[in-house]
Amino acid sequence: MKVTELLKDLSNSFGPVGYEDETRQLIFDRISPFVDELKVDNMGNLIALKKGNTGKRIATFTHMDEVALVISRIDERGYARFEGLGGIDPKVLISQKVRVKCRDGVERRGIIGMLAPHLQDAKSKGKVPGFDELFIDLSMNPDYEAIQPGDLVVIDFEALELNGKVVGKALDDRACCAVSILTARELERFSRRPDVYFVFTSREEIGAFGAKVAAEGIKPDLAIAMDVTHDNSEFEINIGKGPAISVGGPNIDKKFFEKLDKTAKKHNVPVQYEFAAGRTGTDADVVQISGTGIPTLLISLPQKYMHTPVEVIDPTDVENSVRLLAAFLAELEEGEKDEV
Amino acid sequence: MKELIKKLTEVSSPSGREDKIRESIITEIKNHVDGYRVDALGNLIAWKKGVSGKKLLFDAHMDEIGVVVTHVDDNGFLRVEMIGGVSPYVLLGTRIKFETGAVGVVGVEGETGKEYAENMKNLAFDVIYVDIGATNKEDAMKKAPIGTFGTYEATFLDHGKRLVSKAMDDRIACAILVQVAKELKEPKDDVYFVFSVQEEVGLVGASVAAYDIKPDMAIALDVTAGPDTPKAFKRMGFKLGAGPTIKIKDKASISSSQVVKKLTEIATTNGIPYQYEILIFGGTNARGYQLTGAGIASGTVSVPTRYVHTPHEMVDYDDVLNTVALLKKLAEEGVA
Amino acid sequence: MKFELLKELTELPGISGFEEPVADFIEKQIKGKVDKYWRDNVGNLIALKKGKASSAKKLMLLAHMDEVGLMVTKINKDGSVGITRVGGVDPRVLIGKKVSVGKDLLKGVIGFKAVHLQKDESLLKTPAYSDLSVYMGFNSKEEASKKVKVGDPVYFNTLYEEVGQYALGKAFDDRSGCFVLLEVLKALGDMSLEHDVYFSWVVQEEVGLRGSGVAASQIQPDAAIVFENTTAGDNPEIPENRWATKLGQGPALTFAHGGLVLNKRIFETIKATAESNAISYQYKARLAGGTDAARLARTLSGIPSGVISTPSRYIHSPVSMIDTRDFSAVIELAKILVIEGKVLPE
Repeated sequence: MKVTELLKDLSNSFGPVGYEDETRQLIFDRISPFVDELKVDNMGNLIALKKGNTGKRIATFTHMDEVALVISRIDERGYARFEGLGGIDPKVLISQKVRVKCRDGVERRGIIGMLAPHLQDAKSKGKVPGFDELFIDLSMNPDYEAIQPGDLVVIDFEALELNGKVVGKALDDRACCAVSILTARELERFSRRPDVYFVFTSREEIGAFGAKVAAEGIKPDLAIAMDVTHDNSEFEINIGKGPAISVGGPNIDKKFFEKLDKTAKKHNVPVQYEFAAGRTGTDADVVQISGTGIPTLLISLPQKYMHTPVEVIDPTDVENSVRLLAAFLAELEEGEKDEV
Repeated sequence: MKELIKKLTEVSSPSGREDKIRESIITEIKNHVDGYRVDALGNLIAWKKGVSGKKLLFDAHMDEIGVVVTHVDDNGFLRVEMIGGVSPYVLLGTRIKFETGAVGVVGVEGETGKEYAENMKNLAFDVIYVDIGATNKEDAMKKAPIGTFGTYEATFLDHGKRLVSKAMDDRIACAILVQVAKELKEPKDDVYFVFSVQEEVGLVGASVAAYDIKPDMAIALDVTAGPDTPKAFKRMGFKLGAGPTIKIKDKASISSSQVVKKLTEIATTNGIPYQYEILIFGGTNARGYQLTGAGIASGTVSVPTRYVHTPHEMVDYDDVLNTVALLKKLAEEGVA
Repeated sequence: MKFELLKELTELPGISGFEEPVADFIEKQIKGKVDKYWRDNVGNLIALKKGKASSAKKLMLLAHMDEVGLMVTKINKDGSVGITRVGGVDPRVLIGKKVSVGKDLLKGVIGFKAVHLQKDESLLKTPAYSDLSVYMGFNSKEEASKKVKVGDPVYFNTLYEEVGQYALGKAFDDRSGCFVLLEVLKALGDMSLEHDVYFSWVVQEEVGLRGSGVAASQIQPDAAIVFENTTAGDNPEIPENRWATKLGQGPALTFAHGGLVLNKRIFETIKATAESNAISYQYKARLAGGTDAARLARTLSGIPSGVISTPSRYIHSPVSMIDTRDFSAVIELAKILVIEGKVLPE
């Protein structure tokens, strides 16, 4: 299973917030050779358990859902209005071809179009049309009357490689789902390891709904959330320089952070450091305070152009994250008995 | 069913003060269910036992929006703040009925013409006051002291197909659940009728009502906007009279896809009209149920309603009857 | 696929000033079918089917080969590539798109700062070109400079597809016009007309109508017909009285546009020909925009011309849309007009 191929397959799969079935099935197929039990809970989370032998229970959280659109109204001429599923910048939608997955099982085409500049007045040229002004042109489908409110829409973008980087939609957070899958495989090399629940969550993009209920259901001893973070010169986080690990603070457990950092140094995994002054905006937020509280860590993959169809991930960051996570999980209880 | 709707909508019970409406509902429902209890927050939970071993939960919130008295001045004028989403503009022409029985009217401050116009353009709670006809502070303190809750004062109007009243949000749903309890003879699953509290101030009751029940499916029953009026929101297309809506999403949650699928199936096989709803603002108790414990598959069925959060919310009677039919069929056929 | 050749034409890279691949392709299609053809000093491709008459009148058919696109302006320190527009490209259509860079068509994407990092007030502000760049996977300016140069052309990367009676793709403006000319040539076959027919596939229309006058100066035609692509404004955000044209209503006939009122006699002739052959047509109902007809009118002693367009939604963006029935009707009308030659003066 090549990293770049896995990333592209995950990117191309269809899994809008609340409707992650296709992506979930793909992840199910890829991870099942490496785990012992698989189940889908009431929120649509996929929970894959790799049994261990130390008695401790660790859960990882990566989200399957991608931001997308849903049709809210369609007129007689085949133009549709829509609402977002998760947060999307309207600028990213203009002049895009889209795929519409309809309730009747048929996939149809569409364009989110914009009027050519010649016919626009000076005032409107300076403003980007928002959700209330944009529309999807579905009129090209001979049977557009079959399209209904509630039908789902994603931008038609096939993932590609640019000089070794993988570019595509939904790498937030499917790139981290790839880390989970590959870690499940990597752990086979270690004879001593805890029970690991690889949780692939639903609905993170609207407030980490999936993670909250999954954490309540599992009640792990330690939770490790993995999400993407911005490649950002201001805070010196760059793609290709290794995973970014969040430093101990309000949302992140300080003792476990120290252990994670030590593991990285011991195994020469390049890491970058990210601060978290409060909530991190990831599954980590809700997991830490679920039930009676769970110590939580956050590992992030640096990414360019988040929430656009051209998100960029460096596969070497994925590989380094896998090395780090597997080693951390296997060595978790070496020495300190009173940690977990 | 119109008598029931009239009875429930005319009760004055804002969020946090649901006792009166709870009593009314208990009176209506107690002979049609196998049992009921009231939990620590005041949620009324009633149930009818089924045969499948599975559990289905229907939720309707008992509370309505309103105001609470925060200050009484020396001349007997009251200041209020909102309980739930009350627009100060809507209060201007409305009477407010307080739980003590006092009835107030609303005025606007303005020491100059300019200030008055400014206040009218940007109306806010801190420039309005309520006059309950008291002549001085003592008088006012006796009739509506600080901490007194109130709601819109309005009566039920029957236009035949269209019905109007305050608090259709969400008493129409309470009425629908009572009616389902009355008509439902042989439920497949155990059916829980939850009449929840404090939805309007933050989906409070629904966040905990199901904690001990752990149902297999939870459906919140609420109202939704009626964007079929002149130049209404162009991004939404559902309408009064076209049937209950099966909600896809709103700003608070995305309905579980299995709930949407099941409801669509029940409606289609039984010839019940329905619409899909994408609401671009607002939220319902479905969110509270989805996030309960280890998660519950949840969704919302809404009755299309015009003029939500005003004293004159309007529904279509056929939509109401079709909603009763939809829920009853679901309870008879089961969630599996 | 109904229009395989149109697919190939629209998918070729050929922004203004870099039209050779398009000209090379068309040349291959016309070899052996015309009496002579040549490339001129600016890259126009001109072909002639000679007429019988001793002092034959000359009819010029015109379509432009160039499409709008972008150009590399600088290589940034982080390896990304700065761009500007070639022709009228609204910056709002660029975000989240695939592009091809340079002669070797290296792949790149145009991204944008994540929505989380933008301020609310500027979220809906049109980005400036200085806010946009092409990401090609290079890690540094040094690495990028080995493969990309300032001045390299950057093309939209869109595949043509047919959906029902519609076609989606880039560059219908004006590869659809180029296609019309090829279809007319095919229809003429071995036919011998009285008048000369000059087929001119011209360059650089999008950056100021720059190729057509040069071509006309070599041809010295008596009349011309320009085959273009024009905006269809038929979408729900615009009231019907401001649509310009609409898909499904047939070829658009222009009576006036930016910089010119079209020759009345030719306009009436085109109209009459459509009517007597039962070809439904529409008018281009707004005057914005312009075509090579405006250049021809100002060339030599003034060349009168007509303009026939295929209506297209979302022109000058990476994906536009035509109704292939409109397009087929343009081709029908073109064939009849060229064979009958009635647009030529007496």
